[in-house]
Amino acid sequence: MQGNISQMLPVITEATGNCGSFVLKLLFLTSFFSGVIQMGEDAGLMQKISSFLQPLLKRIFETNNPKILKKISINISANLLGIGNAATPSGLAAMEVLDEENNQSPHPSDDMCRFVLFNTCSIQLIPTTIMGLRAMAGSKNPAVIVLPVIMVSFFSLMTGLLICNLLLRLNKKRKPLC
Amino acid sequence: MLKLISEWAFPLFLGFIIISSVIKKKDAVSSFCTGAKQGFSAICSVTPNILAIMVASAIFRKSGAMDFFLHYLTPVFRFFYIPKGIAELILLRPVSGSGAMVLLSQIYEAFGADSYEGLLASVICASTETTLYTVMIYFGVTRVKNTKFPLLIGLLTDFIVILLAVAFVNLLLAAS
Repeated sequence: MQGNISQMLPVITEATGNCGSFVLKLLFLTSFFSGVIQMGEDAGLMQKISSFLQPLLKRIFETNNPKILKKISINISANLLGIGNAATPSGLAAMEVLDEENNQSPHPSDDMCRFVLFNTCSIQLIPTTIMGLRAMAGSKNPAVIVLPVIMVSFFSLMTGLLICNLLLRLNKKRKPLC
Repeated sequence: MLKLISEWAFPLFLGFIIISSVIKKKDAVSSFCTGAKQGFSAICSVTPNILAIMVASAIFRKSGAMDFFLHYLTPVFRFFYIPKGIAELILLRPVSGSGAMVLLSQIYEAFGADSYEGLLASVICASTETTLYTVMIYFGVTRVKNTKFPLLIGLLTDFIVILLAVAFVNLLLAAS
């Protein structure tokens, strides 16, 4: 329609070529930061943060089950530190226990909604990969985004939780929406 | 002051990790290697995804399909003070994490990492997750069938992130 169908193959070869350099960039950057984070994890940093978080999380979640709160707090501290490969297993484990508490109903419990919201909001404190990409793109100050990112993450999570709680409460008064 | 916190956050974080590793008498090098290996294979396993997204987005853009969509979307984005250059990123972010990284680095190339578009894209990418994917796998391990509500809240929060990012980038970074 735009008359540039003949350019399809050149566009594909250009994109595949770019892919090589991009993957290489990301490959070593990510392995480096994963290595650093693993050092912190092995030093017990995650357990520290997690035990600090538990009393706070007790106020956000309805459940009183210490097993669930522990799993949730491990997941959240892994997210804060940016340990993707520790966050997902602990998150899934927490979801499984929440599912038991929900009597395996087909409708999500309130705590499930809140917990998933914590995970769909990125709460990573220091966005290492993005800072690395910025540095490689020639940024004069790759770290300048740290503070705005923390503030945006915090306020968006709080607003999200607030809206979530509000809707859940409204939902209980009427017949269930979904 | 704001600049100071931002600049020191990562070096302090790095130093703190190394020091706590040493204090706890852990083998820092082997920890590092274990983690690095995991990171390495994680990227290797998403390489096909990155390739697919890069080719698809190049064709989408060069064929004119992007312009076609942008023509209708630009007024909406302008209403929320979102620059046109990051429209594609915003649409892709909740669906594909590796795709968003690709678009992010293309935004850096096109506008510069320290440009308004570059800063805004960085903050948005760092403050949101692959919402669709996360909701899918987290509810995948449960018996819950009805994930409409959590998905809706997740996407709404992503939208709040965009609005907040526009506000905070203008407030904190526009002057520098």
